Amino acid sequence: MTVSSPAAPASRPRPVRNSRGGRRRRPLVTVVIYLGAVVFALWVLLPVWYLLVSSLITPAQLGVRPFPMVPSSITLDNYVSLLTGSTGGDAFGSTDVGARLVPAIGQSFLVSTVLVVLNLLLAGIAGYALSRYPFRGSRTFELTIIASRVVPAIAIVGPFFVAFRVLELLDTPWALIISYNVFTLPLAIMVLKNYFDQLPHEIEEAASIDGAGRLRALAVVVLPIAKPGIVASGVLIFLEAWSEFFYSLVLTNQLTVPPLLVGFQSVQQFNWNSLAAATVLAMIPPVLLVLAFQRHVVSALAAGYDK
Amino acid sequence: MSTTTVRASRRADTPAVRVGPLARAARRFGVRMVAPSALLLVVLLAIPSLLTVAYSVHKVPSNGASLGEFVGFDNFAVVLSSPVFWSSMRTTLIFSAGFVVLSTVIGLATAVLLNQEFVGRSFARALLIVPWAMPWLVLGILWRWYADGSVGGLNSLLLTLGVIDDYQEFLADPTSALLLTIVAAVWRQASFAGILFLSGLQTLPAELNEAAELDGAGIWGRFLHITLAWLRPVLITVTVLNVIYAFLQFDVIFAMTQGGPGDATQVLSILIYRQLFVVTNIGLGSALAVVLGGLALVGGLVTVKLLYSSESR
Amino acid sequence: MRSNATQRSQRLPALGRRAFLKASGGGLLLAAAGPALLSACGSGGGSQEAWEGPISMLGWDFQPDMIKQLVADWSAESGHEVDVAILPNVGYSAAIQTRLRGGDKIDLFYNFAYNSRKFVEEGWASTLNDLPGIDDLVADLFESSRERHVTPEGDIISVPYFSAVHTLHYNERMLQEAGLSAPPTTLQETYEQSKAIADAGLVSSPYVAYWVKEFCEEYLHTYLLAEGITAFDDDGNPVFADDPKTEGVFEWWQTMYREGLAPASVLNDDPGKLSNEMAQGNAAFFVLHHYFLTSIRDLAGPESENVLLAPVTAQNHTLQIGEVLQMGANDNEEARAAIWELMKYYGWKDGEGRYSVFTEWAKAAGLAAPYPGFFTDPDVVEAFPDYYDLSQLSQIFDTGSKVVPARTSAWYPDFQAKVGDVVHALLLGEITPKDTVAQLADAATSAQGSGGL
Repeated sequence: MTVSSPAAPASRPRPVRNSRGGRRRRPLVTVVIYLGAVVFALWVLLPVWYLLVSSLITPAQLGVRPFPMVPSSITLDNYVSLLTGSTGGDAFGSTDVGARLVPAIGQSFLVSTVLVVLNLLLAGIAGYALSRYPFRGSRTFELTIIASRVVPAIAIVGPFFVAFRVLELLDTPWALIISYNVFTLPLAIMVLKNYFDQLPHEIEEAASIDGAGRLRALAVVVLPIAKPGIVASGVLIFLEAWSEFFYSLVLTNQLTVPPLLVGFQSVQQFNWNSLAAATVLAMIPPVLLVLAFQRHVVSALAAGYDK
Repeated sequence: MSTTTVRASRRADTPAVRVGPLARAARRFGVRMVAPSALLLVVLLAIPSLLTVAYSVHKVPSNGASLGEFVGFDNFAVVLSSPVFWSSMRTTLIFSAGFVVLSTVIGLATAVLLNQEFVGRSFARALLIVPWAMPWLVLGILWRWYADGSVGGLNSLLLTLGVIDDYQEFLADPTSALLLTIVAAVWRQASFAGILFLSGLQTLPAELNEAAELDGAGIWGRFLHITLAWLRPVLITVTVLNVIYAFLQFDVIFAMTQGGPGDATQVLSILIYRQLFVVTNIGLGSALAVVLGGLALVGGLVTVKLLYSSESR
Repeated sequence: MRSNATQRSQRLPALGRRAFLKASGGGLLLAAAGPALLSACGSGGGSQEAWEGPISMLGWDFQPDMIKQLVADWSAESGHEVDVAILPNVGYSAAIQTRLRGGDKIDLFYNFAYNSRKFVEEGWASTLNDLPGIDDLVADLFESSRERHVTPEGDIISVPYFSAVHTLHYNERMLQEAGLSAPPTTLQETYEQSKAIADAGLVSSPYVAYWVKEFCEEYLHTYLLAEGITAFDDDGNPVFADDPKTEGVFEWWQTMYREGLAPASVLNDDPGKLSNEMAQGNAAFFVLHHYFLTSIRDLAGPESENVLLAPVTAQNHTLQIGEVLQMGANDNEEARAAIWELMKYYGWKDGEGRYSVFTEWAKAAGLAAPYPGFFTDPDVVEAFPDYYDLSQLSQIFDTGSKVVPARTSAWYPDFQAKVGDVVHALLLGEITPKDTVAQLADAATSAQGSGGL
């Protein structure tokens, strides 16, 4: 956890790269920055904190006004009942959600990861080519890519269902891995093309470029520098796939996390505290993953232009 | 010291049209690299989209047994002559305007902030990811509770800050309900924009800023002429994406208000959902989808136009 | 007992080579299948060849482990395999309709009653008239419940999954403290008592109900029935518009909200919150399905013990709801026979003639079955917690409630979708009670005509 802890004294003062933080800032600027950081942290954290607190208190405490942002007592009952299926009461059981949540997290992970790899590969070469080797119609293609995002996804789920039924891919990760390209691939191409545009051309020009060498130039010379952009797009794709609800609802039987979470609201039963607990559990894996990559982003940055 | 420097050092822009066999080979290489993605998108997107367009001019039977009777533009006539559609259109435009402006501005501000050195920066950067890790629908449910008038956290926060005197039922009031669906959706989208802006900022050569500083440019001047100029391509992409996300937004509103109270938050995508999946009037729903897609397209193009023309200023 | 996870791992060898080849071939096939997709592949499936099963069943996410347990018990007994799939309640209707449209075969599924006739008309669900013992099942139902499962033409389209009646949950202590001796017997009295409780300073907004857009339609009928108004005649005409009392109902409804006797938040509150409001003593009246008493008691708040059930009004009727089980279209006799056995077990009685499945639902959440015999069955009596007055509940089912047969009509989902818009506009004061009558009548007429947005 030391990676992220804000005040951890252990985190060594980062060897400040020449200029960006090295200069002395005016005190006013510093104040503004810290003020901004606090506002930003509150903006993100307050709803999350509300979620976390909701998952740690009883329905009785939830009724207290004003909402106990710092609850007087907390309980793990919501989590325990989720994970073990024992609800204490005879009736208000959300029962075997724990048993289902863990496999769903696994499936979500699988779908998102495969999709990220696939997309970075496809969009990486496409975005690179669009940036460096434009051809007649490449501009049109770019515009088409952007335009393709305007298709309301809920309107085209029907044909996907039919196709996957015929191919017997319903209720498999493949149904989602294939169909999610509709959202993620254009996004990835756009973002990566953009990113490659921002990298200086001289880098590859230094490396010799001939037929077979182009892909190698991409792999050996460009990729290391493009890391922050690639990691950022990877994170975007991963979380876009992780969060998708509707296609997963129609094409699978609660295979991934979102349809399972939403299952907490049924005609016969609603329980915000349990849903909050399940949401917290479901958010841990992507957040952990992203924290891991966060470090990667920072180090990729440190390797930036000095080399 | 201004945009010219930035542009020159950033790239040779689109390489001038080159000639000769080497250039042809380069172009062929480009086509080959783009081909797999293009093919995949044609299969996955173009076919179903054309199908939707086909549906929109037919009276499609609910059971999906056939395409049904060709009815020309009848479905569009029903859509365009309905007051429900126009009121929903208005809501969609208000929602989209608020969503695009707020998520772009907040995203940009966040990225600039997180690009500064300060204690706890890596923690703050990790925070940036958190909203994006929450499914839209779950986010909607969370914000419905968060904004709740008796057990929500937002009321107790605003009360503490002195913004309100007493607990408010935000989601029961048409105006504040619309505002809150915007804020909830922005909460997630701004983080998306922030991530992209931040990764764009990280390619900004530090020397540019230094040189500008030596030239005596102030913070604001540096932001305008260096940072913003550098980010322009990202800014265009992000804004266009925000526009598209805005028009297509469905889950958050569905979970928070179901389009209510009344029709206060009934954006077009809610109407599409109703026609396609509740009433299963596929023809009408597809016509609505075509209209919405067209609207998003126009919105996107206008944005591109605006941002590009501001570039040549 | 087969859990979802094990089924899944059996059916798909994770991301094996075969799956990968299929997937990569999939794209091309999809392209080739383009024209075929136009007709959306409504394939009928082989009919008379030998049937091997398993039975596919789709339900929504309410105690899925219980569903699987119950079905597994039946499987063990009958020897028929059943694949149970669960979907969330939110979006269930969207998902199942998209799947059936796309040619999916589901042998047995949960459905909302308001979709049931539509599904038969679209060829997604089959009628049950020819099945052995169906007449006994229908005869066993409350007379009041029959119209939900049998159409005016005599088609039997579904069997019960569970049933419930709209009742008034009230806080007896608060009533006494406000000097009220008994719960209200009319809508007018409901207003007066709410006012009395508010004036006594017990709670500021004593009346809560699940008035979110999607549910306004149930309340529309609950309140119309409470005043003895017939909403639709046998031909589906919106005759409520001709009844002079209708406007009064909307006036009452608007007043309850506008005067703050119902809190402003009820337009969005979910029943979990409302149950908790009752349990915590922030509300004195709560109108919704009877089984929310279980939620309120289980929350064990300071007032949970004081909450009791009463009819919504003493005279006239209340709305009886029920979600249903339907059999998918299937012309294989052997399959139909097997599915029917499961349906009877799940929606009626087990092989030994006991309401064993319903008893479990009663135990789990206070859900009821629309059979008079259910309420006197010793197992059921044992299963219901003491705080339920079963004879009262049974009586509400029997003579105190109606199902409003129009609610299962094929045009109904269209009307149902619009009620929320109109009622919310009424509550927000955007339209008058008079306009409300007119707009709802229009919505019903247009739903039966060409539709529209």
